[in-house]
Amino acid sequence: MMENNILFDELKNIFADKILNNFTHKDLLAIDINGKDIHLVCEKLKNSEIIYFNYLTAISGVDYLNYSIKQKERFAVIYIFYNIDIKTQLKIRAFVPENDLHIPSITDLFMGANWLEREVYDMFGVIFDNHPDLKRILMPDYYEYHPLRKDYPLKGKGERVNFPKYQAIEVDIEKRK
Amino acid sequence: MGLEYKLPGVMLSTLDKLVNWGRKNSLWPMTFGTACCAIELGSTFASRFDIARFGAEFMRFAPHQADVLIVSGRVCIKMMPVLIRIYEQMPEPKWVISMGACCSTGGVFDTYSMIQGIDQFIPVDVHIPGCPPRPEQLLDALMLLQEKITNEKMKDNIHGK
Amino acid sequence: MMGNTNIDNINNANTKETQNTDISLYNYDIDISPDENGYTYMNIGPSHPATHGTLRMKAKLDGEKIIEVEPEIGFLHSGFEKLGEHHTYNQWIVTTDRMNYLSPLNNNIGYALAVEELLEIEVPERASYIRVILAEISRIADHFLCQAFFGLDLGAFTALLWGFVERERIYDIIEYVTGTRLTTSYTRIGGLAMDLPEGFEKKILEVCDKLESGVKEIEKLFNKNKIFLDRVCNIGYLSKEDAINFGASGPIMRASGVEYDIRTHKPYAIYDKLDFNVITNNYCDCYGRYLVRWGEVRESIKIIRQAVEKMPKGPVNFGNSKIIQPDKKSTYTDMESLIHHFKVLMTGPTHGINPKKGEYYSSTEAPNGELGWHIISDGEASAYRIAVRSPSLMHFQIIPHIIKNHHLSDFVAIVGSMNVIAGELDR
Repeated sequence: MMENNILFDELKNIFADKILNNFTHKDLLAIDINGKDIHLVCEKLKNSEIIYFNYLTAISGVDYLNYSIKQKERFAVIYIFYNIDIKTQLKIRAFVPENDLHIPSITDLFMGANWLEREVYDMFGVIFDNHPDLKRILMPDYYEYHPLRKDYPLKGKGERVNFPKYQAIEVDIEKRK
Repeated sequence: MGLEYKLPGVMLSTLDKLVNWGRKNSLWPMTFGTACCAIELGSTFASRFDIARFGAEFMRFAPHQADVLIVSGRVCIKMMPVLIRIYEQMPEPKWVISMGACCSTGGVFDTYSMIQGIDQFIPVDVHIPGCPPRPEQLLDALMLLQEKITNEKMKDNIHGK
Repeated sequence: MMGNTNIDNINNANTKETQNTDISLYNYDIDISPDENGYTYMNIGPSHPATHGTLRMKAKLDGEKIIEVEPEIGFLHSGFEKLGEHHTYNQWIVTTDRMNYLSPLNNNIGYALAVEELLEIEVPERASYIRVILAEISRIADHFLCQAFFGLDLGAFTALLWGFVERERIYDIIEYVTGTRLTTSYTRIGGLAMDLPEGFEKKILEVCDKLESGVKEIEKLFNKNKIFLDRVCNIGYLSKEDAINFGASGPIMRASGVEYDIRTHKPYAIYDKLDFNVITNNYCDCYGRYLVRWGEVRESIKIIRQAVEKMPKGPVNFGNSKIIQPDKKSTYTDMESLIHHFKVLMTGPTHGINPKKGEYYSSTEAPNGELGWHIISDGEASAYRIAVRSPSLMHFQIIPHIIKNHHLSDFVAIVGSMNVIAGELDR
């Protein structure tokens, strides 16, 4: 289990200019970066020789609209990494501005990130560039809103009473013969 | 059997009794289990609270061969069309039991994607309260349904009307 | 790939009818006619006996061999995380029961631990011992049900009935402690809802003995059975590098040779004072996962016996009544306790538990894998954001990767061994 200050020095050696801020709560070190740098950061973390964070634990999104402390941007995507051999955990917050909701995807480095990124897209509307198949995962395909944003009410906008019960699909008759 | 709609009601009373006795003692369930109530449904089919002694022998998931649709668990807007389609695939005579608080009224989940009661979309015969209801409550509901079937007449036997 | 789905109204669709196309008006249908290579498509739908819950998979088949599988989830999405922003910390415990509904006590305990780590408090020792005992007995219940349904899917109905007999014994003891069979809501932030009743230690040791013989009976059915071994060995091979890359955890990771168990890596509660092994093996297939689960049941029985012996007497709730309600006797007699009782339960900007503003991620070892909670607090009675890391979501992504070139009857064994639970998957 690596100490937090040793870990932070090591991280500063690898990419000093990308880290905007850092804070610790108990034993979890968290660093803040811009959303555009996430692919570079993850690649360097995975291939580093001393702290090779090769296990992706979780990805989740946050909407900081009503938070009392003003954050850098409205949306943030949170990545949590782990190293099984030295038993250390690291949290990265990647900020995404509201007028440019694009962030690079890390599916080519970690195969487990596929559905996690789809869920963040579904719930918040953050678009992941170079994702193999970005579409909705938990809500139906015809849904128009992003439910976990702070301006969407808890009980919805009437979708749970009016929803299409049938969908029409086109079927080629010639092929069936 | 379309003959019974043409004959006057008094000629069919003994036949009614025989047919109802046969139907109520061999109700085969179609279990549509989605969430936690499905585990209690599974316990009812196991050996401690045996539901086979009431006639509901098979736990096959086939709507074409079933009489009773037991909906157990919460139903969301993506799953509701599937439930409607299964309900429409079941042949007459059929009955519906709604097991648990979530499919009767929405339960704990009053959110954007939960149906607040499946009886807005399909007709339901017996509602069972509880979260989840104990297996004895499901057996009690089955017995209530059997009582309801005893008083049915063959002439007006279209579900939901 | 799987046919065309036009999301139009029925009225609009009618105008698109041409000479060669037909409009099929049913929902969730796919075009099943064979394509130019002779591959057919099959829909293994949301309501199916072999999928444990509401999962949908669209399979592309060459006769009986599976070429590709595309899963679809979301048929049980209930908005748990949005509810977490409206309920207080204690009210949301009720929702955690309904996630992994085979072992609800593990979810309760994991969430309570996460909020307590955010507040930076520690519960008394007796509460930790009780939590560990209940977590382990709940883990045993989960594994019994997983193996019972695994046997049912492969055709052995007896395994289901025997598994449920053992599970009824566990239900009896959980009902003796908490009051209900399935959705318990037993923990609170800062302790437990109530202390153990009398005679619990004797009962649980009896139950442990009977569970051990129950495991032996079901193992006798399966372990050396040639039909079972043929259907399960070398099916669903998941290599060590793939398991780490996909983010697997729990028995699936341990059957691929990686020794990752949160109870030994980041010990929580009193696991560092107990002596148990972490079961791993190198089979990497469905048989390996089956063996790991039975090994874990035996280790859990060992842990329960040690914990019952070492459990001290004392209070069960954290002393500070700004965080947890004071006990009834002082609430009725002492003015200050009455005020604290009200303030803990009310909602609003200054009532409730009020942790400091901050964020923290914590995880526990659920029977399925690593169940994690990322909680952001804004200093109010309810959380600002609760994000759940569910193990079933990571495991279900693995299935299209390991199912290539297997037959349709192996599909059942693979889905059964992954133990995907829809409540946790869709939240």
